[in-house]
Amino acid sequence: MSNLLTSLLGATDEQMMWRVKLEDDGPAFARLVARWQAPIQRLCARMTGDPHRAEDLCQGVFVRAFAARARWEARGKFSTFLWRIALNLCHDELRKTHRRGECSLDALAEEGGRLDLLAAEDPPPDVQAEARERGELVRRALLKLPPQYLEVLALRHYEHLKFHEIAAVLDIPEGTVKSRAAEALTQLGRLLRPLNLNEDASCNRKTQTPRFRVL
Amino acid sequence: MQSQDPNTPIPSAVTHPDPAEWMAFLYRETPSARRREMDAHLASCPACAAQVKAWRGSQSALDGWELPPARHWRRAWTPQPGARSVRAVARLGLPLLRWAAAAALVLALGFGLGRRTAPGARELSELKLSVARLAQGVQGEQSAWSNHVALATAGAGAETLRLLSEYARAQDSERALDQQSFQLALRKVDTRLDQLRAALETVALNTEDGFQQTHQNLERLVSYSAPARNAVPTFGPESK
Repeated sequence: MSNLLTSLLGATDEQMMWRVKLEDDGPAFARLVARWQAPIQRLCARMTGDPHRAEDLCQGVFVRAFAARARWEARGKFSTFLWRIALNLCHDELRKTHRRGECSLDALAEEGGRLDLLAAEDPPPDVQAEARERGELVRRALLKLPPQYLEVLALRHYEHLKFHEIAAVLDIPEGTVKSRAAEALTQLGRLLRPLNLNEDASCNRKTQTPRFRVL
Repeated sequence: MQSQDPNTPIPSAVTHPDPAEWMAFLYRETPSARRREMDAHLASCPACAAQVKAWRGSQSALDGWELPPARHWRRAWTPQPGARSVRAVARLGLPLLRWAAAAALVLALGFGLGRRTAPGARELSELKLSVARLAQGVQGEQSAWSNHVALATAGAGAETLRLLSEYARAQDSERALDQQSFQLALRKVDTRLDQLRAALETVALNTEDGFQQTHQNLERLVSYSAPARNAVPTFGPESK
């Protein structure tokens, strides 16, 4: 509701960014940060799988946006500009992480194996713990997806951008975005095959303990 | 469809929507008329129904990963390293309120117990006084903290702007330095070109002098050899 009021009564993102670009208007940029901090931070968290690292990345996104204010074109949407910077930064971060060997696929597979044993032999005591564990498995499975699939899911599923908006951010045809989304969901389904039975499993939770694992 | 079960009967002469179209369907971006058609197709095509069910399973799995609540890991955007962020200050205030609530609870319990064990009127009034004093203290702390939070908010905003301006200034000066060094290098190249041009002109002049000298020498040689040509006897096959 407050967002709706802001969008109806306040200046648009583009108007504020225009002021930042022409007059180095600090308060206008501060308002843009306040509006966009949460979504950008969420995107960084979904892309890197690390909410703490997402905080630093989010700050980096706004610093880059401010530094690039002269290059911002008033024809485009400010959000497109910002999402693009955020995704570039996340891709850089993922590359660095892979180069350093953090969260490598092998390590994840090993951890997944351990979790499999834990889940199979020692089922979580309550539903909340089980939900947390499912979330953790999904996070790990998402990190195994190629980044071009992960970014589409992060923007469409979690940030609720329309496919044509994602196409504008990524500068690719809308059909390609949809195809990537389909492939991403297919691969995720393969990675979480036992978890995909969650609807059946949740019906029979009392009689059957599902075995979760990241394949 | 991609992963059709070979045993599943596929209705003949039916066009299956492609995965891209199914994505628009699953994320409710399909126009309603087309959506109705696809719903009807789903009802009649087990292969498509199975695939869509699998994708829906993945979608619901995605919903299972929730990020921690923002207040646990989000902090205000304050690049200043030393300053406490607004949320950090707010977080500090939260335990204080909890302690105050706990103290109030203990006092209330004590009050109840005291009444049960027949307290005198004087003790009661003292207790009331201490409770009032405590409440006053908590109120004072609260207002102090709210002042602190307001100050921190203002400070953080100002600091953010200052840092951004500094960053921009640093970038501008760096660009200016780059331009300066580039112009210096250009000037050096110009000077070097001038020197080269002068050297080339000298060489050209010398060469021209040399050509003229050679030309004169050749003319002189021709003039020397011309009278002697008739006097010299010719030997060779033509002479026979």
